[in-house]
Amino acid sequence: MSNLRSFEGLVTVREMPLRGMITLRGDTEVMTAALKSVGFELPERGMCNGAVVWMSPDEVLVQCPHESVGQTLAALQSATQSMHALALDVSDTRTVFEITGAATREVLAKLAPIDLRSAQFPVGKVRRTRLAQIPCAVWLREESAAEAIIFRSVAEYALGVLQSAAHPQAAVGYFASNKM
Amino acid sequence: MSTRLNTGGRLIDRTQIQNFSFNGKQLSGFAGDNLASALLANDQMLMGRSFKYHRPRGVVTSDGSEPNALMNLGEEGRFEPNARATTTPLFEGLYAQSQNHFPSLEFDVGAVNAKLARFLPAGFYYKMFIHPRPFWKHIYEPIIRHSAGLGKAPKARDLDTYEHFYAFCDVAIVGGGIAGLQAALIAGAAGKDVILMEQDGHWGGRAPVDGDIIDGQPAEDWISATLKALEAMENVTLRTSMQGSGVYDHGYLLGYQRLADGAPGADGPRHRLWRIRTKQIVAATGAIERPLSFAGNDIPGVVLASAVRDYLVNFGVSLGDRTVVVTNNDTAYLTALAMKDAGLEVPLIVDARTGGAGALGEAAKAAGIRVETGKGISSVKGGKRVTSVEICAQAGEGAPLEEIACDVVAMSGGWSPVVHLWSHCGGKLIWNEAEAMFAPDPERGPIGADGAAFVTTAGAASGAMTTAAALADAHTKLGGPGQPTPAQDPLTNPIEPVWMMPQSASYKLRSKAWLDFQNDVKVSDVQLAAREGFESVEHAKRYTTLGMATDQGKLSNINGLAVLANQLGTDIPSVGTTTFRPPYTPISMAAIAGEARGEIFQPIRKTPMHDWHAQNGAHWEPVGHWRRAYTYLRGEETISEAVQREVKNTREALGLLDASTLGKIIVKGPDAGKFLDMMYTNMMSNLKVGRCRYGLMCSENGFLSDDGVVARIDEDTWLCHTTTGGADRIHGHMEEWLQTEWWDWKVYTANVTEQYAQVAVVGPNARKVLEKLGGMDVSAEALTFMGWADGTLGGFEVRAYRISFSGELSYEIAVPAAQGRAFWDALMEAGEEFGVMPYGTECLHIMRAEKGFIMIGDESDGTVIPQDLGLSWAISKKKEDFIGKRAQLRSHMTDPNRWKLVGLETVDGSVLPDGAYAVAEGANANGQRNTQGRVTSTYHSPTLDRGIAMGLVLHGPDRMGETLDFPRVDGTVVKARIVDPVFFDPEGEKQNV
Amino acid sequence: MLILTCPNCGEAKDETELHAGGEAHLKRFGPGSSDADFEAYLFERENPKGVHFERWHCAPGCGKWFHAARCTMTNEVFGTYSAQTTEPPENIKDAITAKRPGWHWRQFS
Repeated sequence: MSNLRSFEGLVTVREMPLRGMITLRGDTEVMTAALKSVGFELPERGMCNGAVVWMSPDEVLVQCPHESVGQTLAALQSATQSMHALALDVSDTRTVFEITGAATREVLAKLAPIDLRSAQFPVGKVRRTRLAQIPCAVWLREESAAEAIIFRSVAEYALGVLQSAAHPQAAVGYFASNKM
Repeated sequence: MSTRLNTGGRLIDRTQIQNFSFNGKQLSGFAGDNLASALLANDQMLMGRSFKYHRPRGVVTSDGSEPNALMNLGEEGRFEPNARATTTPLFEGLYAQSQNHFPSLEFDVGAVNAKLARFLPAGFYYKMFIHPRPFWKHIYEPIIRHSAGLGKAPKARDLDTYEHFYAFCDVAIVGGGIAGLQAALIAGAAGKDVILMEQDGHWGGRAPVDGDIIDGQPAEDWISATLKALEAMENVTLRTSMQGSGVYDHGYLLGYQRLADGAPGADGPRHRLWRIRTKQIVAATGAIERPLSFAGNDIPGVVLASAVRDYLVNFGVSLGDRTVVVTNNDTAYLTALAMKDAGLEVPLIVDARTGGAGALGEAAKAAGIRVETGKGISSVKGGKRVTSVEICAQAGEGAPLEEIACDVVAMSGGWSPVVHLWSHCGGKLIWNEAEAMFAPDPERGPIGADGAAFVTTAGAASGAMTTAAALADAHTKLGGPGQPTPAQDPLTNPIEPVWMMPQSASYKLRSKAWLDFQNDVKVSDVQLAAREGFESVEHAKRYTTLGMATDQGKLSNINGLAVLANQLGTDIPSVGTTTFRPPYTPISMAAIAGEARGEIFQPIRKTPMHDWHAQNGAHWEPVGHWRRAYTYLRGEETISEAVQREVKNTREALGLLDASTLGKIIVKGPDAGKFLDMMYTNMMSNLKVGRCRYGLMCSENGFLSDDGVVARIDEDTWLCHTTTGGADRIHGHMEEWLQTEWWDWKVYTANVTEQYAQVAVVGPNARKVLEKLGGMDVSAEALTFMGWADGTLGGFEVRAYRISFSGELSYEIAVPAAQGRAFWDALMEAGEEFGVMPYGTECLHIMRAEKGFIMIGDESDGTVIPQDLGLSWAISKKKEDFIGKRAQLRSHMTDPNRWKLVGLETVDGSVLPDGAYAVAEGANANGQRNTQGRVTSTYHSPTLDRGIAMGLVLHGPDRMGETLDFPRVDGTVVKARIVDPVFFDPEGEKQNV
Repeated sequence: MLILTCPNCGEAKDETELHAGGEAHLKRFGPGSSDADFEAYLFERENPKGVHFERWHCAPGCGKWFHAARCTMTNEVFGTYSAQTTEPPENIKDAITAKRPGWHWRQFS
């Protein structure tokens, strides 16, 4: 993908390059073992440990370089061969937008009905919610950087609502990071 | 006349002049003015006309409870009707027009209604316009609709932007008066996350106007110090111009922030709707002054006493030279003293109480103001402005004792706590006899998720009507440490309720005593309603329209229900109040919509090939949230010509369809086969790896819900295709059964719809183009009909399904979505020599109809079972159970008289109207013609060059060759013959090559 | 506008992040059942003023179903729990009894 979309406003929003993504489903033991086989750990409930995103009690999203997704998938599949599990390449299913800047929490709070105060939403947390009218997984990667993982068909809508929320003259100043 | 004084006005900046236009007149005010204060400064007391009688109306309040001063504001894309002048900040270039008059505010022909007032009592419309019945629809309703409504509806698209903001906190405080500030100080110091919002542009509420002393200093100083302390707290958020509009379940509070109403055209959002979730809501919303009900109380110049004081102190505006004050409580004396202090005349204070006021009474006398106690106003004289009042004994029938010239009447009927936010979610009220008001019952607050009350009130909103009591109440409610902040005000003597002035006013006086100024409801109207049996307050409200105006009865409700109680011979608490509903005052629809406008009104789902379609003449069709090409227009051709061309080309050469939107769900696990046998009506567990099968899904009540082709991928993995609109729904349906009924079955599902771009390659040349791309073997022998295979084509990793929804030789090729566009381009290029053309959804529909294939949503509508559609072959007889099986055994489902699917062929070759009914002999109980069938799909078939259709017909399959009558809307009839639904290539010779 | 905590992902979910799924603890009747049983399963629902058991779907969220015990009159929530049970767990029933002594709903009390 050469035409990665981006804009600057209250925050900087950038579309991330295509990323290897694998849906892994299984019970905790199966997922733990399978992830271990590729050098990853099962994150705690509601967290992302960088590579692996917790999606639900029996599902994680494994992220890896796009080039190595076939290899990682094969490893996961072979590790779970004799178990009840599901591992699928879903690298093309989603689009990821990176949101950076002091107003990161604030821009997200205009679109998602979630409590983004730092005590309630620490760095590393993932929340599956809605971004305006579309499903979205919000991962707070750093204090001033988040990733919004959405379905690829609605990428333009997501960009549109983020752009509206990040209008340079639309600062709210609610969170400690950019209090007004 | 009303005018700007040379001094005073704590909120205005006299160095900044702001010009504005009112009804075409160029006027000016100062920064800090609102539209009402600026109009008054220009001697513009007349601000509107009432709704029913078109009576002249002046401003009556200084806040959001204003019923009269409503304006059409702005122009074109910034036009807004029914804006309250009292809450509209003045700005340079403001453009306002008054409402509800023709041809002008000064001279209005509608005012003739007022002369007919005797003939337009409560319920007049209900009584008058019922006879004769046919007149309603054709005569009465159009006329009434023409005269209905106050402001004009905007016609242009709103130029501004709006947004939402989701905020979570511990304590949200509504009202930035002294009680709200005190509450915030306590909660903030306790370390809680606090949001404090004030609807006006300034802090402190009434205290600075009323000259209160707090903590030994003037209120103004205490407010500044408190604000400073709050601003220093990291955990406290302060916002002005933000109204707490509504309280909803589980601590949900709407905050309506007006960011740019004072600066139209400013870059950035105009309004922001805060959608707040909080553990506790504190309604420190103060109290609203009530009018008094005396004859002529609607004449411009009769104004609430507190408003007269506000305009004077806040804006340096005097409403008139001679102000008569009329009251039943102490607070109005503050107005008299303030006016006198400003050098204006106060000829008289009329106090209905025989005892009069205490300290304030003495002060008034000391200032040389005449005070008459035990007196009332018999009537106000004047037309578009007060000229005098006649006073009388409050205890009598209104015989005038004396006429006093004046141009302002400042009235106070007491104060009502603003209990709206307390009540929105179920907080109950109690009648406080001593203060003559409804106040929150602290024992019965609105219940939150944990079972405890989540709204409290603080200050005057609780019914704490003195400054000291208000601060003490905030202190107690918030659990503040130590002693409450001390305060003094001069209020001493209790209110004496006055619901009618004078007490035994004659009919003549009562019929001129207004309760609801905007809707023209008078004391006599409410009394009439009670006499006619509208005893419930909710009925009386609707019958008289009392409190149904845009101010939602803020001024009129308590007075109105007191009159009702009196007429019914009962007390006020037994009558009760009407229901308080959010929002507190009207908020903009655009703020509710937030960002959801224009391009981002709703999500539009786009396939990986979307841009290609857009660049190649796609005429779009919304399918769910997807946009699919209905057809691709070339040159000057019409939509229908394009569709016909696409059908012919696909049948004769090669067509490409973007089928990416079709749902794709992976179902995997040791129990997946067993599970799919429950999901589908036919057997899926015995499908062989590498093969596909068409399947039907029903809901538990037996009705057809979705269809699609299922492919078996490996021993324990299936891929289920769904309809475009069905992907999320069917995935959810599967998960629901797995999670809530068969949670011990070992099955995982995954919705992989968006992982793949899918292209249907259709037509006699389909194989040729794929062979040209090269790679996998797609020959008839290697990839047989209803088989699938993984491989490569033109270097793309693909999965090819040999399935057909058109009756042609057809492949559906799936590639990873990111490569969808490149794959499509490769097919278009390779297909050129084979006559490739893309085709849209309408071509797809026609081709499937020619083959007699059903379409979910056309042949099915939630009342149709597969058996109706001749699909019994797809319903397993072997399976003990599947979703819908039991329901399909119910007597209605097995009724031989259910309408069944047939083909329909018009006798004259024309196209049947969609949805048309076939009529039968006779009529039903409602006198409607009996029916015996209906059209479910209808098209012009270019292949057969005639109209073809499918429909459901009584005993249809047994009536082949019979002709049915289908009336058109215009009364003519189309005749159609019942035929087999497969119109084209019944042997399947074209697809099985 | 309710907030319910999904027991599967542990998040307090706004009502706009949830889908309501009707009454909980229905027993499915399939082929072989009487008309009366099947119709009751399809159509007969409780409509109490007070304690009620409901199904909710955490979508968009973790995608899991859960059950909630709620008072329909006050919207007080007594608790949320796994959908993978045929009756309310003891701790939920105890929580309801503490607030609404003597409650009953279908066969539960």
